[in-house]
Amino acid sequence: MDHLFVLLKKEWLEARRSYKLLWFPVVFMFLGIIQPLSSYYLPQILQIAGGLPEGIEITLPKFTAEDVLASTLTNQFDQLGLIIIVIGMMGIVVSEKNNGMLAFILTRNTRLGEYLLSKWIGQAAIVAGSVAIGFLMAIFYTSYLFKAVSLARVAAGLGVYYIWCLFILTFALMLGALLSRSSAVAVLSIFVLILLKATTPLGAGFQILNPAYLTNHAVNIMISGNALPHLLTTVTITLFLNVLFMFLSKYYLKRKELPSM
Amino acid sequence: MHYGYEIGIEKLGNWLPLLLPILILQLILISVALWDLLKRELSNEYKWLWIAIIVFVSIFGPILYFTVGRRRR
Repeated sequence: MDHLFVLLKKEWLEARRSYKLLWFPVVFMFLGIIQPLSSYYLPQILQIAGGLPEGIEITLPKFTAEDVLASTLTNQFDQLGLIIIVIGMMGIVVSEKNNGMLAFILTRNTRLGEYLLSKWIGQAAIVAGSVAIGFLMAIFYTSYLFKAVSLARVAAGLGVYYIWCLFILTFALMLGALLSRSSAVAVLSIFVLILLKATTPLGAGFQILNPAYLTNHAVNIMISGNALPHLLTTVTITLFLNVLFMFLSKYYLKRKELPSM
Repeated sequence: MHYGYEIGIEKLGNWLPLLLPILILQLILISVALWDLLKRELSNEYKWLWIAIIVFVSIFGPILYFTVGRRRR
């Protein structure tokens, strides 16, 4: 456990040096602000973006505060946010594998499991902080422009959403362990994750098994206050997949890295 | 039908407090990225390229620099 603590400190230092601690929260704050603002100023934005021809009357939907928060999740965090998380995480194992840092760390009597766990905990903390602070901005703006929302519901929804974020993170980390180019990691994980997301509107029975469906659960909790059926099953499966991915990457790295040392 | 959209100064005053945080966030990203870029020892050509990307590609420019641009020494 001593090793883990040292490795976590190294993660922290690295996150500060690479400015990840700065740009990750800032980008998520940006995403959190954009959605309430653009929902509120939709009429003006339509006018600026070319203006409607005279005679056309459109009725814009009235957004409720919960709708706006939910669409922050689905339109911003789950599209740009997903890509940002993957891009931020694509290099975490790959770069240390390539520049020999991983081999060096392993000579120091550290276990591969501890190493991966420290990576995972460090990045999970950064993602948690960024998503939380970004969503806090969204809540501020929504309560100012629309009306105040029930914090308990939003927090519950965000908690469910965070499990999907962990899945994104773990998936990118596993691909980082398996592949040796960070661009390949980014492209492949974005492709698979977007594919998972794209299947969610189909809404068939297999969504119980789909981690991406957690966003729908989160949105539903925020809007109506109660969960869709099978929430717990999906959460359990996602957590199980996370653990599985971690073990997979550990065994792959063990088989791959140790002989070359 | 008219082209473009005029925003009066007084209207801008209403919008500004809401837009200000976005501008500040952008400025933080841009200035930190530029500061880091300029203190590095890189060829001038490379630096100008990244300056252009950081300043003109909004929000994604600094992110690209932090994730891709910093890795080359």
